[in-house]
Amino acid sequence: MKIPVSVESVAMETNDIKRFRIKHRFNEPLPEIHPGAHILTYLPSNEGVIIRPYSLTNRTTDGRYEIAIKLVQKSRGGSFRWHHSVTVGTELEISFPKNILKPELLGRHHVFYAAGIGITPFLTMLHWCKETGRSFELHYGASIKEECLFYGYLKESFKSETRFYFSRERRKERIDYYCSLQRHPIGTHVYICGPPSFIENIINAAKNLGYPRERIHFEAFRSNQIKTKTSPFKVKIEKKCVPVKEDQVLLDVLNENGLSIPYSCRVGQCGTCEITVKKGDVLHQDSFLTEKEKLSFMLPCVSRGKGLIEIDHNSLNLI
Amino acid sequence: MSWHIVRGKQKYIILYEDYVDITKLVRELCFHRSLLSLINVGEPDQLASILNKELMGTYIYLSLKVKKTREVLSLLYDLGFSPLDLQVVKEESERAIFCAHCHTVFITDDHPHAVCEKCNITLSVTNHWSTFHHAFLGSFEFEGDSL
Ligand code: FES
Repeated sequence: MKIPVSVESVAMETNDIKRFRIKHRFNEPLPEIHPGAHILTYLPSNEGVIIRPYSLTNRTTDGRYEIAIKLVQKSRGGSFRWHHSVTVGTELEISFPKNILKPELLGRHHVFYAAGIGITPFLTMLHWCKETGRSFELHYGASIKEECLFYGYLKESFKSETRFYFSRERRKERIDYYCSLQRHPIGTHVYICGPPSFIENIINAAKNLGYPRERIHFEAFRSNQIKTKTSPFKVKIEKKCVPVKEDQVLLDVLNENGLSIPYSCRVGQCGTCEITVKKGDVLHQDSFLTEKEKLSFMLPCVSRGKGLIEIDHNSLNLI
Repeated sequence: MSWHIVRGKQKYIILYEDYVDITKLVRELCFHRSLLSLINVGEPDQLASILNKELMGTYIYLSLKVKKTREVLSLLYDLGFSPLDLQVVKEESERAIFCAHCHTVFITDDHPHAVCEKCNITLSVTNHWSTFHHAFLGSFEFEGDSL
């Protein structure tokens, strides 16, 4: 089920990040959300509907949603369309809100590590922590202050809980994961969002320090937007060979070719879109499949092929 | 007594009582070159103030009699520890049983059958160990063809 919406306002947050406020097309309040929720946006374009996941940065008291979108260099897909063709009044559809990340109710202390646009899923979670009197802290890295999304808001609303790190300011600072992770009291839950290497480094540091896996939460969410370099490849379905351009998502290409594969998160974290690979090298970008599963399966919402891959048409679970 | 070693922690703590022998466990943990601290459980109040300062990466073994285990566990959960951060060293001689009927946890000798001390139902003691209740599941015993 999709919700018909339109864009109510657009604001430039930083040089390359725009904030969009979305309202129900028939002025109904949009559904309530859980902290950390995201939506899928279905944006019509000349090349078909562009589907992208975006975190909700806010649900206003009158039932509007807000999302922040960074213009990815070289993008011709989602972020390019949002930045260049979406204006006030643009009509689109969205999914109901979903949660990959959500605050753990039993946590004694909550620590958020964000880099760049990775702050977006945390805004509603920070707000929830504050409102419900939880103990929390935010470590937020950006290149310079001007590029730091919601800097003013965070400074004002979560002054004592937030620490900023600017890697290209005069006083260069980066998050020292080890040092920081070593200080957290027992019962802490850690949440991470940012580029893949940022997520990986923090997860590894936490594991080395003996954090139970269940206390580490992350959103690999924007992998298809943050990873700047993607290459075109081809996919063979039965006897047909279909090209997948660098800015296309394999799941969408399969869909356009009549294979309606079910999906949910579209960020490689739920496994719903799993398909069987018969031949070829896959560039796995999900955080769901095990190493063993990666030998036979792939998640086409985020993963891509190298050169030519062949998928097993008979094993597809179509809707 | 039985336990398993959870590797890769910064610090291990053994909470013990005088009359429980922990030498074997200590010897095994010493291999891991992590910090090891032994705490003789006295009054829970003092214990709380010590454990409250523990950081992530700490892992606790509870080598206590079943009754004391239950007392200390609830204190640990209040402090923010979870079943992921601790392990109960199981004593073979006595067992905590979780009654599937009234959800009481009671202590009994190691019999295949036990009578719940609250609802008096006869339970058969299964091998299912709950890491949350720290007890074995006692399930109903049906007689004849009552099913
Ligand atoms: S839709 Fe969730 S993993 Fe692809």
